[in-house]
Amino acid sequence: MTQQGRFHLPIALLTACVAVAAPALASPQKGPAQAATTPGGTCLTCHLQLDEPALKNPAVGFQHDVHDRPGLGCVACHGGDPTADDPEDAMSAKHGFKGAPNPGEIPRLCGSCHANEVLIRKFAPNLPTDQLSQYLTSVHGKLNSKGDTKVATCISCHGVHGIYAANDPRSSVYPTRVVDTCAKCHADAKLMAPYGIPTDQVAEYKKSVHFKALTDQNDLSAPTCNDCHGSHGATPPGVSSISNVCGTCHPQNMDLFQKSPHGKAFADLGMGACEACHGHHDIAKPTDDLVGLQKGAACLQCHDSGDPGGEAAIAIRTALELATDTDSRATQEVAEAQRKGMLMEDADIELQTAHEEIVKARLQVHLAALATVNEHTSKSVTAAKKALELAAAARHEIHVRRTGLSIAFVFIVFAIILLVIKIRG
Amino acid sequence: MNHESGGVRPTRRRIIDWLLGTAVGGVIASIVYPVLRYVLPPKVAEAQTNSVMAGKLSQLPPNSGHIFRFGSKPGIVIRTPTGDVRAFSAVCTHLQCTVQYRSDLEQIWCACHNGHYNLNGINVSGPPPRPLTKYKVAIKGDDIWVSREG
Amino acid sequence: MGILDRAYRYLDERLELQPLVEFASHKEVPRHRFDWAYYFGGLTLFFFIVQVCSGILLLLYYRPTAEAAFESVQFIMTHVPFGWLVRSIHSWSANLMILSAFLHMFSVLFMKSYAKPREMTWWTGCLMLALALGFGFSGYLLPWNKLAFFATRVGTDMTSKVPFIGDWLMHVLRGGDDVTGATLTRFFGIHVAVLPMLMTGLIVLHLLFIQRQGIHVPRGATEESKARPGMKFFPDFALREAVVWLIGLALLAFLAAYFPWNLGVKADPFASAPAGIKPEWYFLFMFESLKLIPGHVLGFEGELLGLGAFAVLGMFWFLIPLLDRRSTRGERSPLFTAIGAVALAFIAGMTLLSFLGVFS
Repeated sequence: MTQQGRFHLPIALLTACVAVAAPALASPQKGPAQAATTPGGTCLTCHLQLDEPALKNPAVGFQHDVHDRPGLGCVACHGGDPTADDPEDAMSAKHGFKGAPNPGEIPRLCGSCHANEVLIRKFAPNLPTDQLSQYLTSVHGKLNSKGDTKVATCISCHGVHGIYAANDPRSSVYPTRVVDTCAKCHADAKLMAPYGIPTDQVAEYKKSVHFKALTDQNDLSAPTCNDCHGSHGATPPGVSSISNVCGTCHPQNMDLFQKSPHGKAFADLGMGACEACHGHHDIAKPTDDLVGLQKGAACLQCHDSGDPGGEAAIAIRTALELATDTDSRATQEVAEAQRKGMLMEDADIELQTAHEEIVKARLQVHLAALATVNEHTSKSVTAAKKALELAAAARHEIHVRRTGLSIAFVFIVFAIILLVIKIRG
Repeated sequence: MNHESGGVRPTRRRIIDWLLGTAVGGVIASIVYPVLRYVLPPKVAEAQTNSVMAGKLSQLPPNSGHIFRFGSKPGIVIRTPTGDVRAFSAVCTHLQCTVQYRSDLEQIWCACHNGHYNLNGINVSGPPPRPLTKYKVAIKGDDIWVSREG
Repeated sequence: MGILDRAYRYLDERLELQPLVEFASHKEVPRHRFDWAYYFGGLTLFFFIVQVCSGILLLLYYRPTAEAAFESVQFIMTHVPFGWLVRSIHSWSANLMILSAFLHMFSVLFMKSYAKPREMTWWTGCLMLALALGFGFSGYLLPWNKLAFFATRVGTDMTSKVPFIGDWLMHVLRGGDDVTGATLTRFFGIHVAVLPMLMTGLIVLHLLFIQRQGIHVPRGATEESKARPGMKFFPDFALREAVVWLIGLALLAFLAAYFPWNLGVKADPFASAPAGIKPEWYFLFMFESLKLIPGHVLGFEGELLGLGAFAVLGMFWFLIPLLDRRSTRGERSPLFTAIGAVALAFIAGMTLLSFLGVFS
């Protein structure tokens, strides 16, 4: 409980779909005040003492459930009387005991509170209430409505009896865990077979730069499954929406692409946008090798050396290569001079500009216009050349130092020789 | 000095002594000159990598920013709309582009990939993974001095 | 010449220099086939003088704090005219001084010059070698770069192996539980004040003993040195020594020009230790030997045993003048020649093998 206490209540309830108190609150006999003072009541007292895991574990889990805090007990979902001492009485139909809800009921059971704006406001004024309506538009929701009991419902992702807030790192829908939560079903070939969905997405995604950012760098803003597919309204983005999806995080790339000759052409051809070059689940860190007409380049899919687009691709690639080559040569030479004890701050500033202009040029590749790429690469090359000049000046300075010391050296040797002559004499 | 070695002609000895004097003089000069140059105060009087004059307060109206050089990296000093002066590393934490102040957004902004930082240097949107490194600011008269923290 | 003569007369009138001049002009250095070895002591002194001078120059700009040490050395090397030269000379001369001291020590050992009545000269020499190693160890940390930081951490950690007082000793040496800015100021104080003071005192004693007792002639060369007239210290030996010093200077100029001393990367106490941390070359033979000893030998900790062995050997080395009775009696002492040869072979061999990367 203290763990959860660190989180804001509204967020704590953000995606929790299960076991809310509408029935209990609505019930005249079991007032909310009573439920709040003894959230688990006699249900927990008994179930915690039971040996059978299926009966004990829910009680154990519920003790750290996010819903325990606002004072919602087992009765919220299961009905019954948490004040009755006699199990028969507590779990009798008289007290509205319902047992375990079946999968088809779950979304609406959760929704009975989470889609109730007035009720939710009482606990978490900022918590969205559109989860259920979103869910009903999702592939999962549509199939669930048709009576498919295998599709994901609220509890498939959020868990049940022991639900953590979505921003609790222990939650199965915490960004770093989402991929494995989805994988429970979507990487299961047998389960997916009837739906005709591939099951390699998870493995592919785990190769991507996004997964690396999420896990290696712990960058929680890096996208995982639900950031592109949606959470409650999970659906594959269509060809028409893919660039908008990528564009939520990469807006400049999207803008430039849509302004580019490719923007209209791709749309007319009904092709996707970003994924045509970058792939989708296994998006790798893009390199300059994507541009051009050499083997492995993305442009090769549509262009070849005869057409103007192909020529432009080669020219853009050449410009990028020139800039990166000059930049890396300059970086190397400056570092070398630094190692030799030369002050290279001015050169570092130039290198900074050179790197920055390459970054900008790479962005401009999305516009697929040679001129704008060239504008940045030539700035980069100019800066890198200045750094190279400074490195050359440093080398010259080292040379001058050596010359100076050589002169001193000559004097010393000369003195040695003369002394020896004098001693011999 | 070696008067007893009579076999050597005095002129030759004098030439050797003279040459020796010149050579030793050269050796001494090549020691004294660097030492003298070393002792004379250099152009930059002391190692100042920890603080730098970032600009004039009078030239930094509220809701504006100014890029300055801090060692081999750019820094940015901003004046918030409420008049506070703050300074950060101007190197974007995403791909090391130089950030700038956007008076229309009242934010620090990186042109390369549309990264946004608030006026505390904290990344608020776009790709930057970390906040900008914060510097300490001291105002002496009209001068804004910026130094590394810690 | 007129001015010099008058200046001399002025001083002589007041200080009675005549007896000193008399003493100096009669001073002779024996001549024999091993007399080249007499120059190493002077050469070591030369490098020490270079160290003092270049060290004082570095003090003008150096700042002994964890925040500013690296930057100030960088400042010296980049902004101060000829700062790169002064720093390079200081680093190279330090190494050459220790090398030359080692050569001097072994030449003395093989010539058995330590024998009575010159025991005290040997002892002051041994102490000075220890001080020189202390100079090297403390000075290595001062630029506050990564390698130095971790080498110091490893080096000071060894003192914690000393029985009973080890932890306390390490704590005192580091000025805390770990190598920090406190260690740096401590090492700085030791490097620029404590050690130079002790060293100067010992050098004076060492030279005084030599003046008082004259230069020792090894047993095998006594006939020869009797047959040949001695070399006058002034000007003959002094001029030859000057040639040696100039060679030392030329070597420094060459090394500074072609192998300028690098600064490395600033120390980051929180970074993990880089692979292949090695101390300065003159500690390598000890460092590598300690690493070769297995973790546990006969129930003792290997490293502790190794350190103990080096301590015993060091003590033995120090007491050689008392242990070598034959040399004291003026007899041949092949045992100690052999011991010297083994020590030399061990030190040179281990150092060389370490450089060749045999142990890594």
